[in-house]
Amino acid sequence: MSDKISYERYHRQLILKDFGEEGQRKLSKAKILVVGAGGLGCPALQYLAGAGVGTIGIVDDDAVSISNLHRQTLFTMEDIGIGKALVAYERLKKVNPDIMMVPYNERLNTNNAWDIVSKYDLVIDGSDNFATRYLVNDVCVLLSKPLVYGAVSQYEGQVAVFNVKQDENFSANYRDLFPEPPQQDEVLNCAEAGVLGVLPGIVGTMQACEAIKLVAGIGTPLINRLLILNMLNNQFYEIQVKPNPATRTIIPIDRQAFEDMNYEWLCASQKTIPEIDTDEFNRLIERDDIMFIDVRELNEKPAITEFKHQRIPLSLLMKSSFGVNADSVVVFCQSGKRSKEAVEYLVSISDHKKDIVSLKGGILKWKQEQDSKQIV
Amino acid sequence: MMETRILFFGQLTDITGTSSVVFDTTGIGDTDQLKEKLYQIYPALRNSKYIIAIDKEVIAQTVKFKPGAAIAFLPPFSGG
Repeated sequence: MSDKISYERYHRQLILKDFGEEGQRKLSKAKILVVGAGGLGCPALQYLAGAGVGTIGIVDDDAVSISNLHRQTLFTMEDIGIGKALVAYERLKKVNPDIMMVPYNERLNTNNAWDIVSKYDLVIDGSDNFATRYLVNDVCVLLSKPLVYGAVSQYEGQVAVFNVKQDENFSANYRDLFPEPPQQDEVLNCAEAGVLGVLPGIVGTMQACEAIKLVAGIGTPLINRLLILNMLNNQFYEIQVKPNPATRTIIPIDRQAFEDMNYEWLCASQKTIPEIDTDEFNRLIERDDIMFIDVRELNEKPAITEFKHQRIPLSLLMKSSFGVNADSVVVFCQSGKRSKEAVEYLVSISDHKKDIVSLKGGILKWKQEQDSKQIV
Repeated sequence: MMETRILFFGQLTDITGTSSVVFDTTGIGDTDQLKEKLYQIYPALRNSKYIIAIDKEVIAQTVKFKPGAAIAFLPPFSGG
């Protein structure tokens, strides 16, 4: 990377009104991190590298697969099985060898995000899952990094610019839009819902454009605005996003709190929770090597006296650094819903050798069956 | 009669079968009442994640809306 601007390479944008040599210099000094080298990341990276962004970080832990090729324009058949960050890096070096690029062949997580994001001036979110999206949002809020958000589903895309103060004290973030991640099954992902290949091409390109506008200080970026585009009817819809005071209480307060967050768990990445029926439950009660946990609140009836168990309300369980010291754990609640949440949480904090299950239908169902057996 | 335009985005249109509907909201004063009314028509909407924007502004809690308002239901996307 050199301080000298190549007039030949950047001629078409150097002659642009408003952009010019000053815009080019700002770009060459800029450090932009692109999270995800997939459908959104590929076009964003291509245009950022072409435009001469001085330093570009590329984060992706995924390898190229054949189902990527309809939309992930940096990759070819020869790249299948190779890490996307590395392939993107090699390809883009051939487009523009004058810039500096850093491939991160790893998944962005609470252990590495703080250090990686700190090194950049602006972040482009091209990830493909809610866990990463909330993680990227929160770390950008904490580090005051402008975030260019983009997401796609089927024929529709969303673009926005977050964490940029337009007036003195006015900057929205993704959680002002969607404070909490959706629960399992509330939203389908791309693999389930499908996506038209050109859609992330358009949205990712718009993200690159917003990033260039922010860095060069031109135009009117989508600050505190969410743009929704529909590829089927070519309609654009734009909504205002206002900072919501409640949002601040959900975002971790500092680095330590951020690193303690479990985003994978928060976003319940499409896992199935192991459940047992009442017959199996009765069999397990007979054994003494199994830990039973009642996660209902302490005042909830009926109280259970028929077998040995511990009472740890779900609210308390999730706050404590509760250690599971049995190899097999059965969790139950009133109807079987909270116990599923508890199982998911316990699985996420335990090693995977442990057998942690939820009682399907809850203790009410079990009680009913016990009572009807007695009547007979 | 009070007419309100309701817009559905993303996968919510799989539930509603339409992206835009004009709805008689006579007797419906706020967004909570509107949601309940819509759940009767589109039961699967109840189990979907979405936010509401009234006249292109995101609302954080229940809001009373005026006749002629455009009310948008927007789901989160994660795809990339």
